[in-house]
Amino acid sequence: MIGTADKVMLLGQIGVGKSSLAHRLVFDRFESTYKPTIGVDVYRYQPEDGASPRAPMIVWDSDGNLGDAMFKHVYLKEASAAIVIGDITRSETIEQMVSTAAAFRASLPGRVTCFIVNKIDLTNGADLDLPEALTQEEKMLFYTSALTGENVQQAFAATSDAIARRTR
Amino acid sequence: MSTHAILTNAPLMNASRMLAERGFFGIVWIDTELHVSARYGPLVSFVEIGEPVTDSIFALAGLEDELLALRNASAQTVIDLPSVTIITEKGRTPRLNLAAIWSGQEECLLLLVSRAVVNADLEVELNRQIRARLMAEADLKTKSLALEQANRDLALANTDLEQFASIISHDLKAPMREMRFLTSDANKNLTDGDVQGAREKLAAMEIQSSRMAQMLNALLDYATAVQKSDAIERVETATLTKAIVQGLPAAPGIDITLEGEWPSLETLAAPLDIVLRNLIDNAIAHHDRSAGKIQLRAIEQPNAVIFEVRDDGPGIDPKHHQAIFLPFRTIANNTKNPHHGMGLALVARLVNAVGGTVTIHSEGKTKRGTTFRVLWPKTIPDI
Repeated sequence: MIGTADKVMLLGQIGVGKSSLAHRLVFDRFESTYKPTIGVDVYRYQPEDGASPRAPMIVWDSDGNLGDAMFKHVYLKEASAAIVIGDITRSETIEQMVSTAAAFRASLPGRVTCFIVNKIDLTNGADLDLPEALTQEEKMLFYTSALTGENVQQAFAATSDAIARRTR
Repeated sequence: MSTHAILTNAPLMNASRMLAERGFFGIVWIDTELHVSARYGPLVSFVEIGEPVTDSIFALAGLEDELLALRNASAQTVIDLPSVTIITEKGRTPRLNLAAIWSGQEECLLLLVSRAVVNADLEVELNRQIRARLMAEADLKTKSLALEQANRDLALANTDLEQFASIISHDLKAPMREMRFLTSDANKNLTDGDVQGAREKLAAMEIQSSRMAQMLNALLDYATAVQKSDAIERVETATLTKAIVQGLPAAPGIDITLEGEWPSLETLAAPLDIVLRNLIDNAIAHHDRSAGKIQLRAIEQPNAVIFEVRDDGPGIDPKHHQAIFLPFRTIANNTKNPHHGMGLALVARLVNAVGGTVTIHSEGKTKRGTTFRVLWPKTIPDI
């Protein structure tokens, strides 16, 4: 591959906040008016350097309606990582995260998978029981708010570092 | 001879140019280094000439090897990327279909960029409605959570009210009654000309009045134990506990040790201080021997920390295990160290307020020793 950018897919059901997270990440702002993503929106993001320099990321914000069709799609080609997102206020989207991650790994074995539980600003501090498979299996699990920006950069920086560890 | 055979490329080129100028599609020429050498049409005006194509069209990043491989592929091989929107600070492109092919004649890649418009309006409207429903559901859930919290607060407030009513009517009634009797006795003494007796009654009344004042102060501390203004701070639990032990009156012969792993916490510092202070103070004050041991232990769990205060004192009969957490209840008759019986009530109230639990483990008469175990959550709910 000639380029050095990491291609990162944002996966998750419709309305979990994929586009809001991408907007918060790249432009550091929250879009209060909702525009559903049709097809994919593609962003370029340069994470701040950590202990070592971080490669630019090409963030593919996918259409939540694509569902499992995404895993057979050309969009997924050469992806280095998937960030699987769920909405803390909708348990079905959280439960779906495990199977989405499994489908991604089946399509692209060995790639990095990061989990984001989004919209924590709406929970008012209440606890959420995450599916065991999510907490047991995964260490890369972040609770974020695209509205406030909490933990958003950290999740993407950790994904960038995990890609670097795997590939370089 | 078919009509196709006599056509030259010129009309096709003119038609292509016309369509490109009207924004039906755009064409980008890409050299073998994957730099943009030319572009045509307003649809691709955002593409920078002379720069790597992936700088402008991020969607092609990662596909560099595939693009170059087109050179060796058959003429019909195309890389298709449908429905892609490129988003930058300057704005978002229309939804685009990207198709890359190799032009053998010109030794370059041609990227054909066209608008994707299949059922777009319908999809957008459908998704908007789905989203509106999802948002309404999320809002409802949030409001339900808030309502549940309000109900819990109300239940707690009702319990408090009942408890206060009980305290006022029962516990404060005793010194009041005592004062009434003393007043009556003092009157009788004065009627009988017994001035000394009246003085003694007045002195006793002063003691009862002072006791009532202390009880009311303790009750006020209890009622205002957890305030919204209490700050969440970083607390080194080992440092805090050592400071508490050092600050309490020295207890000769009582050996106090810290065991386990004492973590650093972001928590309500003042309430944690009061809880640990009261439990340790309690263990010292109610120890009945000249030599004894108090073990303080912390156990870190994923979502909470367990603090244990274990003593080898006389133990507490299980029949008192519930009562000792009520205000003004004390089972010990310790005249040297009079307590109002508010310490453990305060502990229970504070621990409940932060969403934790406090439990007692003691067999009482059959076996010496008492352990108080506090489960202190790492995440503090809104108070």
